[in-house]
Amino acid sequence: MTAQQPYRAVEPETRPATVPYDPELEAGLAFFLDLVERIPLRAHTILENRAHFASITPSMEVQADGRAIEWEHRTIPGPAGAPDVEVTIVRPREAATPAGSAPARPAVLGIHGGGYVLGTRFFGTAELIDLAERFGTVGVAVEYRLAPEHPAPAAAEDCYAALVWMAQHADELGIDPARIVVSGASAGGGLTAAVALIARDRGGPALAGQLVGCPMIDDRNATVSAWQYDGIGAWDRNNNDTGWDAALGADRGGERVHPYQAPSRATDLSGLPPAFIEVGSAEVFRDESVDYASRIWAAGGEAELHVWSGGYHGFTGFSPDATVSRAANDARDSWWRRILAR
Amino acid sequence: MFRDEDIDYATRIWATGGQAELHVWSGGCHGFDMYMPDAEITRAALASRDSWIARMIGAGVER
Repeated sequence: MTAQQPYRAVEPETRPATVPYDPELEAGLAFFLDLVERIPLRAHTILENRAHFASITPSMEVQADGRAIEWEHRTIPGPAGAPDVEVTIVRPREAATPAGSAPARPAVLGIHGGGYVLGTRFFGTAELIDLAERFGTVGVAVEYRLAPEHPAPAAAEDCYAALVWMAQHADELGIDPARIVVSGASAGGGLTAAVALIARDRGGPALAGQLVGCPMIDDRNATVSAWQYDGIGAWDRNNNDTGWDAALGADRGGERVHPYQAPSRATDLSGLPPAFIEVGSAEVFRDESVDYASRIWAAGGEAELHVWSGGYHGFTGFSPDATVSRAANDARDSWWRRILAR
Repeated sequence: MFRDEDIDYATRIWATGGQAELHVWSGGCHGFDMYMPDAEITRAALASRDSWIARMIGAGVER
């Protein structure tokens, strides 16, 4: 393998048949492909896709309109030697109370998706608004650096810096530092898993939980599910190749890839906060999600795993009214209730 | 006790292109829905099972 030829998984002799989509999800999948993945994501279309993503992501003003929340932008210190990090804080709107009199709220560090190469923190703020309204959480959305300009683990380090800042500013934020949950989907799910690993290894803030949504955690792209969705569906294996090529460059697929870059590479999954892992049965990330949960259990850890039949990547977001999506949202809500009640 | 073999079975169904739904509830013991009927986790587990049945029946009716 030379630097000019990026890593590619060895193709299996026989291509596996794909798991079919839930019929109720077909319309939402078509909408997703037309709206989000209009331009196939390849190395030469990353900038074009970023511009497209920016054009379809509502501003904070639009997202917050009519919602029972308050929000503000802040600039916080980045990792050592790295630039500052922009965050947006989302909190429940409440009657003015004397400083220090309100009970400390649980908090969520929200990490957006986008294959490590796309998106802004406003791609992930809708979740923080919902959680603030329904569970009274204070959310922090973090603007992490993107690849390929900033290879992994720059993004994970930015997210971890935001976590440390949250814990250090708990009083100012009105949050309980013992009840911080990290949450994200897709690349945000991968970064969520990475933040949990970093916090464990550095003795950082003790997390109350990690919500690992349809996570992008394995750079090798070699599972059965990764081969089942080759040119098919939302975030197919080709998009996945593009994201990992950008994040890891010539290191991709090799022995030097670190767990903070690709959490599936972690050999020690003990000592992690309770995980909630959800994924569709009909997407690239199915097998790496199941493997990650299985290895947390094997290490004696706590994980809850949901593999939703016929779900495409991100199905709850783009087919919210489908029966399977409502069930998935209900199961996730249940986990929030159980985690926040501890 | 049955966690790992259940996951293996589901994984091999998916690998053939088959349909399976898998839920492993955190901290659930064998038969937890019968022993802790009022717990939040039991409510959630039964709701997801009901949803699956509804989806299977709905698909059958539509076809």
